[in-house]
Amino acid sequence: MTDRELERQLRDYFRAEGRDEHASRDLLARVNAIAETPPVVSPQNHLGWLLAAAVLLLIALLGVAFGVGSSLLPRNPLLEGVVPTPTTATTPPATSTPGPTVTTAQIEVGGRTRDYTVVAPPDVANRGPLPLFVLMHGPNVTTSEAESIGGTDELARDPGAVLVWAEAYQDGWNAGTCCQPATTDAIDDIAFLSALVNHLQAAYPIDPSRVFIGGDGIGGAMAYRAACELSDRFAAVAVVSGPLLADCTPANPIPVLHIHGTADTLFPYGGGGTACDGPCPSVAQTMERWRRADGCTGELTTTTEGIVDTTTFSTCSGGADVQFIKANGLDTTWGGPGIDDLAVIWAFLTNHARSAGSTG
Amino acid sequence: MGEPVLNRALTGGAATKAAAFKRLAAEHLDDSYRLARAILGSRAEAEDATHDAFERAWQRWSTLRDPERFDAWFARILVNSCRDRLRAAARRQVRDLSTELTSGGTDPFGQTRDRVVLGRALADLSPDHRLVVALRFDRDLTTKEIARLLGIRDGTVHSRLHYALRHLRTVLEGVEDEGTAHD
Repeated sequence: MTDRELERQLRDYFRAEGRDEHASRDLLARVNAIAETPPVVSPQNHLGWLLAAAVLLLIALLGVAFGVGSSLLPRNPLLEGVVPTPTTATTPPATSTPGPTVTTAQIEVGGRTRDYTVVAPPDVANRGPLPLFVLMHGPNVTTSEAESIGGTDELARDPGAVLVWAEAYQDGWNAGTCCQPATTDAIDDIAFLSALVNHLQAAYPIDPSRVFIGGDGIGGAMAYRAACELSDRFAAVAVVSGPLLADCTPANPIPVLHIHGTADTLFPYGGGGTACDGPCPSVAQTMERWRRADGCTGELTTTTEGIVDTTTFSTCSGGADVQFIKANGLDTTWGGPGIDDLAVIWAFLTNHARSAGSTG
Repeated sequence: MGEPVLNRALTGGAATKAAAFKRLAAEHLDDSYRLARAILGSRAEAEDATHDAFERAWQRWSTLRDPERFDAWFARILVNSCRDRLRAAARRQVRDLSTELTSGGTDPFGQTRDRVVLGRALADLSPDHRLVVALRFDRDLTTKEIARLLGIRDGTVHSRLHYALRHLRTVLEGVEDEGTAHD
């Protein structure tokens, strides 16, 4: 069967399957009824959330008074970020493959079940302390697709590391000003990532001085936010294409590697697009935010090698290394074609293990 | 849609917002339903997904800051609503489409059989693969338009289409071979 024949069959199928149908009058009535109830209060409305929190607290107290288990109670998004020790529960491994061991599991954080996938060397139990690399893929891409891109999971076997792909909440990370529904549902992704690192450090032989974070696109934006807020946990951050969308005042200066193609279609190099729940900041704006966050006061230096321009900040707080790689003419994606970004990322991260005297 | 209507929907009082929302919903209802129908395959599922999408849109109304971006904003909500239903259906196991496909048809025998087979093969696709096939061959969107709508990269759309079509071709050719063997 030729491509053309298959495509013709598909078009015929969909045409016969209701392409010209109209919505029913019943659906119109149901949709009209939606507007009879005021929209729910957005998280930006603090007064509304305070009232909601008061109601939920009352319900919780009533629940305790009447012996109702907390799992039956409505969740309060405001309380998610302040639960001091998230409960942790993992399910048995769901999948495994030869080579690196792939384990899909869940963790309970602040009343929500969050998914993650660990990729570890097959002989992890016999290895010495390994680096841990927390990864977040771009929006609407499955972990299996992200893993297969560029052979990221091969890093687990050679040179040896524990990788974890953290899953977004309904395809969106709460990376600061983006992305719905994680932002509108006030999802505490910082608590999730923090609990995940705690759990993995207990479960695997992890070297605490080599805990890194990175991501692609909005996953990269989340990695940046986590680097800002958990700079005591992460030794360095590497991002492909993702912008910095959160206020950033890291307790410890953190080394940053950013790779971005000038032909990026989702996160345009000069800013704009639609991927940030609105226009994304430009790479220059993200650079400036990191310059301030890491207290870099010296001159920028740029070197060119092939299609790649590398700009390095100098005189940053604590000697933090901040590098922006501009890939001319590329639509960069994690592990994508054009440059060997995984090799560059891994070299950068492992060169920035936290020194013994640092916090964390 | 008329821009003044949209402006009122975003900035007016409660009654004005509700009236404007209803008008916007009426304007987008048929197109939205057809998109959901193509993705989900079932009339009932498509109506529920469309309703859910408008409900989510109304709940998140205050987050729509730019009236010019309503179409893309709502389309993404709708597609996500459909994907949630596909994922839930995948967990429940896929329903048998053959009843729906054969119940009202007057198609000649061969066409009906092909449609049943194709319907089953489409239902076997993962939610993400089914989405790109419906958007490409029902909505006739380009891969770039699909990428923009789903918030993924063009290369990911190409990859999903490639694997989805490969699966469909394998199923259809397998049935053709069976038919030949029995003829």
